[in-house]
Amino acid sequence: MPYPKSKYQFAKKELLKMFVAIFVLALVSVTYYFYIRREALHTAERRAELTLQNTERTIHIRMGKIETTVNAMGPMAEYALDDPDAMYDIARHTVEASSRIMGAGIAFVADYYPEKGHWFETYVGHHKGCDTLFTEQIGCAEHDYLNMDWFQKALASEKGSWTGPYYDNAGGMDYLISYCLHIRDTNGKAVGLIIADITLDTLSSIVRSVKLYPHSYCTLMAGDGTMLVGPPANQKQKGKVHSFSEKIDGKNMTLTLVVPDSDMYRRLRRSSLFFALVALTGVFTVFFISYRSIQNLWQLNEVRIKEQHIEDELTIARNIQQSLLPSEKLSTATNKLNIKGLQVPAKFVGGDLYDYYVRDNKLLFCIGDVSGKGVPAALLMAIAHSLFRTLSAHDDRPEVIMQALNASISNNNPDIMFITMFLGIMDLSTNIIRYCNAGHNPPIIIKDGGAEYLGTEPSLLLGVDVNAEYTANELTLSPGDTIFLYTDGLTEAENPQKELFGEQRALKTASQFGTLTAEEQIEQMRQAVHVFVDQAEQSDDLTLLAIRYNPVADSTLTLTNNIDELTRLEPFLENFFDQNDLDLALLSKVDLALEEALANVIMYAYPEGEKGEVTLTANVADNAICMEIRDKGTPFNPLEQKEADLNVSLEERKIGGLGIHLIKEIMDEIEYAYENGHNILSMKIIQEGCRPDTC
Amino acid sequence: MDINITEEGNTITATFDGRLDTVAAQQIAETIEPLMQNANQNIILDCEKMPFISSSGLRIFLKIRKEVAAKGGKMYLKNVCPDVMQIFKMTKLDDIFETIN
Repeated sequence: MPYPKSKYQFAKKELLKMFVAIFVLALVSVTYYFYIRREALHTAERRAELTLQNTERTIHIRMGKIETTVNAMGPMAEYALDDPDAMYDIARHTVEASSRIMGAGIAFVADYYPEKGHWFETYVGHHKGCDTLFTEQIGCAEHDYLNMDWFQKALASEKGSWTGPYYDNAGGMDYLISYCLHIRDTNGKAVGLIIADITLDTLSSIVRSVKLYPHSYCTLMAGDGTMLVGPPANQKQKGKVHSFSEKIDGKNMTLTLVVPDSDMYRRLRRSSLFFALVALTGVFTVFFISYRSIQNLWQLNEVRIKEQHIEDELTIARNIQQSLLPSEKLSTATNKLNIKGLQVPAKFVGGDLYDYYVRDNKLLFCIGDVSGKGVPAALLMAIAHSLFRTLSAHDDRPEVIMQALNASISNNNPDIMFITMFLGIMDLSTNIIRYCNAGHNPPIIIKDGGAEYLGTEPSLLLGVDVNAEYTANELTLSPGDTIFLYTDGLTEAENPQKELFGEQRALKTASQFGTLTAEEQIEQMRQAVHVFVDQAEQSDDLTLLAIRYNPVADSTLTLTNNIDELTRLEPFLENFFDQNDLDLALLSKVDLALEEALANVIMYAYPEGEKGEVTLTANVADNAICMEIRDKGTPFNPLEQKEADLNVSLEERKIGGLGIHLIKEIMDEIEYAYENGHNILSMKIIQEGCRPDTC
Repeated sequence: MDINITEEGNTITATFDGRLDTVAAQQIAETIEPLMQNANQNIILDCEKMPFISSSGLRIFLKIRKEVAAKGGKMYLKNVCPDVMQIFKMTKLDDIFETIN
C-alpha cells in the first residue's frame, strides 16, 4: 500500500473527497428545491383556480338572485303600463323582494307619459341608516337620466344588463351597480327600464373575503376596464406577484386573484430555510468530524509508515539472520552425512539458531534457543552464533567450547537472557559424536526403523552461572542413523484448542521416518506440525536440524570368508570411485591393495571350515580415501609379518609375502588395531594432484 | 580369466585374457600345467588383455619363471600394460621378468 508523503498531501486527498461529497449534496438540494418550487407553483395555481371559480360562482349566484327578482317585476310593469302611478308600487315591491337591493327605479323614455313630463323615473330607496323606504320621482333636468350613458346603453342592449359602478347622487347615495331590464309595450318596443341598485359592497365583501394567502387579494373589474373592487387600500405590493383571472359568467366582469411571490413560496421558503439550516449544521458537523478523522488518520498513517520502516528493517534482519544459517552444500568431506536444517521464525527474526560446519574431518554442529522472541533474542542469537564459530575453530572438545560460551554469555548479560544449546562434534572417521547439552530439548535418535530420545541429563543452560561446568557424552552414529535436533518451537507448537504438539507426538512422527533422507524427515516433521497447528498462529520459532549418517551401502562391503567373494570387490570400487568422483588412476592400485588385504583375511583369519565375515568400509575425507577392513577372526597383524626380500636373486626369491608388500607400497598410511574382538586394518591413500582447496 | 595356450615350434605362447586376481589365480593352477611341463622351451606370456594382476598372479608368474630357470628354458612377458608393469616394479619383478613387445 502506498503512503502519502506529507500531511498536506494526505489532508488534501481527504478534503477533496469531502468537498466532492458536499458538492453532490448541494447539487441534490438545489435540484430538489427547484422541483419542490415547481410543484408549489402548480399547487398554488390549482388552489387559485379553484378559489376563483368558487368566488365567481358566489358572485354569479348573488347577482343572479337580483336578476331573478327584477325579471319577475318586468311583466308586472308591462302589465301596468297604462298606470304610471303603479310604477311606484312595483319599484317598492322590487326593493322589498330582496334585502340586497338598495333601491329600485323604473325609468321611462322621454315623454312616455306626457302628463308626467319629459322625464319620469320612480325610485324607491332606503333611508340612509334605517330600514324605512322613501319613494320619489327623480327624473328632472338635474338628473337627466335620458342622456346618461348607462341608460342609453342599457336601453340599446337586447337583454337585461349590469351597469356601474357609479356614485348615485339621486337615489342610493352610494357606489352602486345596477341591473337594468327592459319594459316593453305591447309592440315589443322598449319603453323603459327597471333598475335595481345594489351597493358595490355587496360584491366587494365577497371579493374581499377571498383570502388565499396572508397578502393575497382579489379584484373585480368590469368589462370596460372600470375597477369594481380594487386592491385593499393598505395593500402596497412590492416585488413580484402572480395573477390569476376568471371571467364571471355572463356578467362581463373579470375576477383577478393577485398572490405575492413571497406568499406563494412562503411555506417552501420556510421549509427550505429549515432544510438549509439542517444541511449547514450537517456540513459543519461533517467538517468537524472529518478534521478530527484526518488528524487521527494522519497519526495512524504515520504509525503505519513507522511500522513499515520497522517491518522493512525486520525483513533485512531476517535476511541477515538467514544468512547466518549454514549453506546447504558441505564439502565432499561429509558425503557420508546428509544434513538439513529448517528455521521458521515466529516474528520475522527469531531467537533460534543452528549451525554446522566441517573442519579437520569433524562435523561441528549446534542448535540453540534464546529465551524470548523478536529482535533482542535475534541479537543474542547472532552473538551466540559467532561465539560458537569462534570458540569451536580451534577446539574439538564440546565441553570446553560450551564452558567458554557460557562464560562469555554470562559475563555480558545485563538483561538476563538465557540460551539452551545442544552442541556436538562428530568425528567423521570414527562416527562418534561427543556432545554437550546445556538445558536443551533432548534430540531424537532415529535408528533401526525406530526413534528414541537421547537420554542424557542436560546440564545448566547458558547465561545463568558464569562458573557452570559442562560435561560431554558420547554417542556413535551407525550408517542410516539420524540425530534429529529441534527447539521447543516443535514440542510447544499450539493448536487452536491450546494443546501442545508435545514430545510424544514428535517422537511418534520421528519413529515413522524409517529410511527417509534428512530433507524428507524435516519436511515430514514440518507437515506434521503444520497439520496439528491448523489455523493457530505460530507462537514460537520453529527450528529443526536433522543430521543423518548416510547408509551408503556402496561404501561398505561385507564379504564372507569365501575366496570367490572377492569378485565383488572390483564392481564395488568402481561404483565407489564413480560416486565420490575419485581419481580413476588410483582405482587399480586401490583394487590391488584391498584385494590383497581381503584375500589375506578370507584365507587365513578364520579357522578352516568356520564361517566368518570381513567388512570393508571406504570413505573420502579431504583429499584422501580412507579404507578400513574389519573381521572377527584370529588376531593377526599383517604389518608384523615378514616381507619377502625383493633384492635377492631369482633362485632365492620366495614365492609368497608379496601381498603385504604391495599394500604397504600402495597405501600412504596403514595401521592395524585389534579392538573389541575386531581386527581393524585402516588404510589411507592420498589423491595426488588434488589439493584440499581445489576439491 | 581365459588362458589360451598355443605351441609353435619350441615356443609356447599363453595368452591371458582378463584379470589375474586371487580368484583367477586359484582357478588357473591346472591350466598352466602344460607351461610348467614345457619349461625347457621358450614360453611367452601374452599379457595384452590382462589389465590387473594380484600377488597370487605374480606368484604363478614367478613359479613359471623359476621352473623355466630350473629347466633351462626362457620366459618372456609380451605386451604388458602400464598398470601391471607398475606392479612388477613395486615388487622388483621387472628385473626378473623379461619383457618383449
